[in-house]
Amino acid sequence: MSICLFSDGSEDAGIILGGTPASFVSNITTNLEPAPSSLDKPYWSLADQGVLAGSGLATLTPKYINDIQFLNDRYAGVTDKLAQSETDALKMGYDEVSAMGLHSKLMQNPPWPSGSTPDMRAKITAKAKELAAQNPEMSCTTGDQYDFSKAQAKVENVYSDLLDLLPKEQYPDAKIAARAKAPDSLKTKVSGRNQGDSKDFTVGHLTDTVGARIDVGSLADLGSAAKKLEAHYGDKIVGRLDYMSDPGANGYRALHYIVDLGDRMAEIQVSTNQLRAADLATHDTIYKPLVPISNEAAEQLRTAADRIMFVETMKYFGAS
Amino acid sequence: MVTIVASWDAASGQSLIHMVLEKGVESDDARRARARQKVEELESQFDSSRVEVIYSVARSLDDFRSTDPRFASAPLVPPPS
Repeated sequence: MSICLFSDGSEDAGIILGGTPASFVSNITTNLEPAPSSLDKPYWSLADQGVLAGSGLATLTPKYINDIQFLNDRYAGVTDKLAQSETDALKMGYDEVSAMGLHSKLMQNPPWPSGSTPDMRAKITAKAKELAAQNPEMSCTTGDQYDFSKAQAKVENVYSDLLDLLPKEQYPDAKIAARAKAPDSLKTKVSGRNQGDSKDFTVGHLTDTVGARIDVGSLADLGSAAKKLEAHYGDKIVGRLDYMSDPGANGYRALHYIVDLGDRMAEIQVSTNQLRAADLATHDTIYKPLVPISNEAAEQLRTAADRIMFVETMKYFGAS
Repeated sequence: MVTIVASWDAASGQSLIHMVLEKGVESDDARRARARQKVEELESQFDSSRVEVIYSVARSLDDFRSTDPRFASAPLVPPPS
């Protein structure tokens, strides 16, 4: 697997050096100075296509290379998707200026319902108290009273509702999956929140005893799906987190809805297939402390996630 | 719709699909009971601070894999003989 490097598109569009000898790639990856790159935001991608080289090669530390190899081994499918997105971007004649212009245009008038719910934490707490008052299972602070069989039935109801809302005929590329939190997973989470003197986190506070992920094929579909969700759940929406307009760390982009199902809250995440692939490449390497990753590799993953967003933006405006 | 029971080991990065049950083959209650039993079995085997057992429903196993790329190439554990 070769390591492909290219600078942000404002440099030059990059040159695909097909058939690059392995020794050349090896020279790049082993004979690099540890000094920081003089280019603005060095940018990387992994592919079996040889080497994309901009006007200069980013300088990389050996540790960074090891991180990339690790990610490559772990996420071969994901990094191939990232590489394909970047290759597509180059083939479109993409350049930094036009992408930035389109991205600004998108953010000024996004197709999705924008803005996060203010004071969402307060709303969730209030809803949790309401649920706890109605239901002993939800007032439990240890998770021992969690009724998994009820969660199983509930998750199928949610899933069925989502299938009705987003029929295959209208959303042919949509992937939908729903989950019920497994008992031990729930107990670990609840007990973790109730460490020390604080023992007031209840099962009712959890917004993901039931959850769903909807990944659609485009930004336009994401906007349409989100609007349908908002119309369907209406005043049952406890909160919305807009990571599309305001991306999370490492470029995470999605819309999250916390909804009141009557006996619990649930979290419904909406994103696109490509953005999901980029997110999962970072999630388990950056946020799971058992699998550390260097800051350089984390930065490059964030950049790759942003790049996918740019490509999605161009597709949205038909710039292809 | 399929019901899926899977596991993810955050330390090793190993992801496994332990069970895939098609809706309609048996009653909904029986299907959920079998899946629940599998979840309980796995949770008794694994350290929950390291391994997450996942219970999901989706249109297909492919849809499940797409919405959680940790499982993109997760092998299907054969059922015990």
